[in-house]
Amino acid sequence: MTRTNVPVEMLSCCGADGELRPLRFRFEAPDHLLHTVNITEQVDSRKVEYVGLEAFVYLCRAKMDGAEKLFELKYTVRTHRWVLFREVY
Amino acid sequence: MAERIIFHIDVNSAFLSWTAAYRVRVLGQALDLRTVPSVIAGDRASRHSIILAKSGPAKKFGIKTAEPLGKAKDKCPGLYVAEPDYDLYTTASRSMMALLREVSPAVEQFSIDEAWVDMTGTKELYGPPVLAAERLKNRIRDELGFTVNIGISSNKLLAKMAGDFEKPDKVHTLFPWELEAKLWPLPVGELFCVGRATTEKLSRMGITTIGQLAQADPNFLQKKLHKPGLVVWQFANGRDAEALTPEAPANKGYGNSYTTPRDVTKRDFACQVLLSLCETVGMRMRRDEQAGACVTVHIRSSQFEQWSRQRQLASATNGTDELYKASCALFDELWDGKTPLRQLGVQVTKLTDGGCRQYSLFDGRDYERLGKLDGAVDAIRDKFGEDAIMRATFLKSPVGSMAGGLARERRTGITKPVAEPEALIVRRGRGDPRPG
Repeated sequence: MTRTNVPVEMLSCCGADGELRPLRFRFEAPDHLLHTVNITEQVDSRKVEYVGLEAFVYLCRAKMDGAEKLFELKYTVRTHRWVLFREVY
Repeated sequence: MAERIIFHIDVNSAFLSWTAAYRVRVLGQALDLRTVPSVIAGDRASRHSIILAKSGPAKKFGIKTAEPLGKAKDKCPGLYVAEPDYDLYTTASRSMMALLREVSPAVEQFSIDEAWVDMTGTKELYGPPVLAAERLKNRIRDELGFTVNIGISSNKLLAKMAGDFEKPDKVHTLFPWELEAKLWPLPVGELFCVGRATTEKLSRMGITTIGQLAQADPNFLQKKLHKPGLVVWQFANGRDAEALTPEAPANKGYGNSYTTPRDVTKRDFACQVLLSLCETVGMRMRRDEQAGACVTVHIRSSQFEQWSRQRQLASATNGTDELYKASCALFDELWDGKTPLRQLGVQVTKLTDGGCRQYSLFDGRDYERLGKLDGAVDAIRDKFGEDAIMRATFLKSPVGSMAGGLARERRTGITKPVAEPEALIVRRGRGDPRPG
């Protein structure tokens, strides 16, 4: 589990029913290189409300440098920010 | 009638839990403050640094809530200190109260992190009370990320006592038939409403445990401690007739005080503090459409001696100017002009709804105009913030234009039940002449 809570730039799709779907994101790695990741599949999504802060957590699959990755991305409603919460593998 | 079941829900070291849960669950930090000796302490820079909350491991070092930070650091050199985040605490409190209201419609909020929930007659819905409490406790932990203690009993007092037994993340019962085994062996100071002074008085009478207090002669206690003696005797016997009141009772008075960062030695400065306090008190009263006829000023010296004096006004008022004049007159009677002061306070009691005024023949002031001015100032402050408009005297003063109460970042309903934002909007919309 690496790269915890990195702020990301996100391209996402807001459906007509209010559903939010992450599509593509960009983040800065520790070596200060920018990585762009295309999400191939949204495995799971859920709403969390820890300490009363509404947020949506998405478990997404993506290909990065030829290897498949599983990311946990989080959108916090109050701040309108996306973060790469963790990289599962 | 069904057996009365009351839950008392109390967040385990609330401020610390909330900060810890935020850091772990929202920010994704690895360090959980609840597992290391840590405290939440106020801002060091403004010299109000006292312990607001402590973690379980910090408690083992003998650190107590409300003691100075310096003292706590002496007890535990590696102590982790985190700053309070009142915005977060309000959010967390609101979310917990909302969750409780989902469970039962009768919720009485006691403080930011404590509430009673009436669970009478919910057995068919949630199962027997202990199991229901376990479920509720786990739901709060899993959904909101912090732990609570739940006390179960047939009245509010016993439920609260049960909630204090063993922490954290536990459910306890304290029904009247369990008093002897669970409550009576405890030291008397643990009882609700028995503070340090009463504990001392009771110990002089040879009463050290709650059981001894319960078996003492109520007439004797009343003679020694007056009315509170009877109250604590009733409490020790587990009797509490107080009903659960989901809505907060109306204020009996409005008061604010201000601890100055430096000693007050000049009358001008003291009056400025009083004016600033009157602004706060007046605005709060006007917001609730209340007026008061009795003004009290209290002062506290740098040696912690206290004095206070009160005065009846000719007519009930909520105008800043009138309150200020009365406060200054009281202050002049109170203060000898030499003793350095550290705290000043203004209180207004004998409330009426502020609908009418007794005019005086000899007083030529136009109170209607002053009232309009106050109304306009309030409206501007409501819309553009408290600093949008202020008296010129505060321009270069270390005192803010509205002193007292919680520091600005904390002023969102910390000590009192948090008003729902929607409720505020509804109240404004209805019959409130103020614009904005």
